[in-house]
Amino acid sequence: MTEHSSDHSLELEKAIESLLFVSDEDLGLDDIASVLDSTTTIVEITLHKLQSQYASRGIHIVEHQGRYKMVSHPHASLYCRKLLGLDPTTKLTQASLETLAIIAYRQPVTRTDLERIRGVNSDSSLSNLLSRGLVKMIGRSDRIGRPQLYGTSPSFLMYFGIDSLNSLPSQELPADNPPATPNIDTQPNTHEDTQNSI
Amino acid sequence: MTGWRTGSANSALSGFNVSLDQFEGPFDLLLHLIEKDGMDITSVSVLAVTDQYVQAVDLLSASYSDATSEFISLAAILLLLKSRALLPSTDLDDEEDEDDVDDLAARLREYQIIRTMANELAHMELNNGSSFIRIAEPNLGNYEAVSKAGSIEELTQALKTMTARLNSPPPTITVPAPRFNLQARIETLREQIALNNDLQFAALADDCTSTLELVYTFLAVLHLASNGDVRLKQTKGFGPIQIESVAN
Repeated sequence: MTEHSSDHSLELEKAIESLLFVSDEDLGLDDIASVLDSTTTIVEITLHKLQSQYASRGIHIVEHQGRYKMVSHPHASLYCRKLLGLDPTTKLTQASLETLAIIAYRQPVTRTDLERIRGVNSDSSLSNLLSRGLVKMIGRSDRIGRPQLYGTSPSFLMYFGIDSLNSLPSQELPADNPPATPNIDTQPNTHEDTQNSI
Repeated sequence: MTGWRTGSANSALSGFNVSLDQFEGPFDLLLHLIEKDGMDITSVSVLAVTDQYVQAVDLLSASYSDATSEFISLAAILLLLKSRALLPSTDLDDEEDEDDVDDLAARLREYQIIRTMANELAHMELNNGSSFIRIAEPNLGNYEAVSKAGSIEELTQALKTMTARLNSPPPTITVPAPRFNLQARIETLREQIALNNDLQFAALADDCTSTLELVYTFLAVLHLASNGDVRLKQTKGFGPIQIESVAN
């Protein structure tokens, strides 16, 4: 009996692995469950098992908002770029990083939320993030005017080389770590340098 | 009042060449002023740095920043809040929730968290690599594959028909190759198809006397098909290709 059930779960692992491999797009738990005639719970458990098995391999299984796909290991980033002929991307500006942080940690958010938290108009940062595909419109708010709601896209995880939104650094303020102050001696708009050295 | 214009030790920005550009926004500047004195963000500390903030904006707004108006706007709000705090008799129950000092402190704490997380993201951007998906095949549109691939027998049969055509005696007289005009070929083909609604491509190919003519005929058929003038039909793999005019 136990032998049979472990066989079955092994078959399930193989099947899910195959589905992720052949799929062009990310797969939802319900997509996989309906193909395999299984339940989303069982599929999710099996996916987590697969994810940990893949942790030591060159392929990762990433999860974004309940959808899964196979991606290359972030440590192989340089080689993948070389093979694919991709130019190194320009680093995000401090304004874009702040806007992205709000979207990542507070999603879904509206343009007004972004401006309220940053204290400045963030439209250009938002459109930069949208054009880079790191964030996307994910719906409309019920508030007056039904403003657009923004959230992270699966590319966000891939850009930062993490497996899921749960892998984002915790948003508690470190107690003994004074936040960065602008580097006043350097030229304007070189905030990144300051932060990276901390 | 810290007297930072004179460059005393606890001045905010003295002795440095600064501009508003170096701050991401009014909250960034306000937060900087509070943090440099090692204060926590409270209603008290926000009001405590009001004078420094107003002075900094006053001095720095000479250097242009996209957000200059937002810096000045916060200065006005801070001055209003401070004046209320100094004059307790002022009615604090105004319906101006936005201008509540506790609310401002809360927003500032939220901004502080976000700024820290932005730094984390910058760190990850620099140190983590990126992941990539498998490169998918280019999407060629809605060309459906032949649902049932032909059998080996059908393939050999098609090959036989083809070689039989090749083996037929070549025309003995070679005339100078006519100059073909694709547009003209399309027109004649269109007429031909209008007359005969059940034409096979093989029949058209048989009528061709040279490779060049065959090529033009083939191109003309493709052109008509892409225009939607004719429909191409192949009922089985390697089978004959039927050309049907699209009924108007």
